[in-house]
Amino acid sequence: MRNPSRWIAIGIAAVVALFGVALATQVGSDPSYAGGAILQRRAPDFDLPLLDVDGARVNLTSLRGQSVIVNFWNSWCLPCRAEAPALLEFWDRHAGDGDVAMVGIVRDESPSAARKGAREDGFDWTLAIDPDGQAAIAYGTTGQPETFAISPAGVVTGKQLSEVSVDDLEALLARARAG
Amino acid sequence: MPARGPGEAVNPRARNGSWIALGLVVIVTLWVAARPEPGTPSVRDRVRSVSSELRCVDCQSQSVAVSSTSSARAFRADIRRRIEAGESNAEIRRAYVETYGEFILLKPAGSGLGVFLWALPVVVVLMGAGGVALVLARSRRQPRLTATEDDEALVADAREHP
Repeated sequence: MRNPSRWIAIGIAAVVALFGVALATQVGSDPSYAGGAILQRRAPDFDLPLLDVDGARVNLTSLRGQSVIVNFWNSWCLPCRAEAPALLEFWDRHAGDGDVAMVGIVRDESPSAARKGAREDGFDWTLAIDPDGQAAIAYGTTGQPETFAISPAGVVTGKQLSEVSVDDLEALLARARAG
Repeated sequence: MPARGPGEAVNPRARNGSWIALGLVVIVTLWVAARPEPGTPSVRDRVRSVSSELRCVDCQSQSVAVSSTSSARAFRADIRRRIEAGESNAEIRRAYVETYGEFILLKPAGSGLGVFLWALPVVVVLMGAGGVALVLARSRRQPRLTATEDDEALVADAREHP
């Protein structure tokens, strides 16, 4: 070995490069980044107060048998407001379907502010609040908006971490219906 | 007891007794200070311990223990609820890893990619130390250069004609 220090430097560079490759591939497939940690698992049940009906509640168990789209949102969150037209169009298409339910869960906001935002955007699906953040934790949310698809059997079949388009919502619904 | 006059010798036995008493006091104090607190850690201690190991999901590299976001508060409340329901710290950690993946842990796990994360600095330091050792060994093997007459003449010339 004519120049050992050069080989040592090359060795260190190789180890660091290997680490970078491993990290990149692991991050890409890490379920927490892909939103996959909860996929194909039983959807955590929730029992939450409705946003716009005092004293009434919604729980996931009561929706068993339907394909459920669960959307975590806040009115102060710009991507949530940006995806509102897609949610409205999607719900216009499917509100009459007996096998589909959509629940918007306010992730981190006062009920009055969320109520005002929902009125402004014309949300007319089931809206609930998550006062102590337990539903958001149970679903492994890391922000908002996050949208989940739940099959009629109560299994999480899809998840999207960013704002959804109508096509995204249709794909989520198709996965939920397919179970 | 009459006062001791100047030059009066101190009883060596009494002096030794004082030192022994002082030593005992120090030993007992250290023992009391160092012994573990009796009983199990409080719920608050456990909440702090578990939450310090979890990543705040909507912060930059902060733990759930120190973050003031509402999600961190929700996590702390959830940890407390789980502790009060009888879950162990390990069970609570496992539940969050099942939902969020290893991402939720601030310290990498000791398996999979985590092993690589822990091992990488050690490997790099060892390789660096090996490189330094090789360079030192090589420099010892090579004799120090001595100035030849030509070198001396060159330096002398440079001094005379700067």
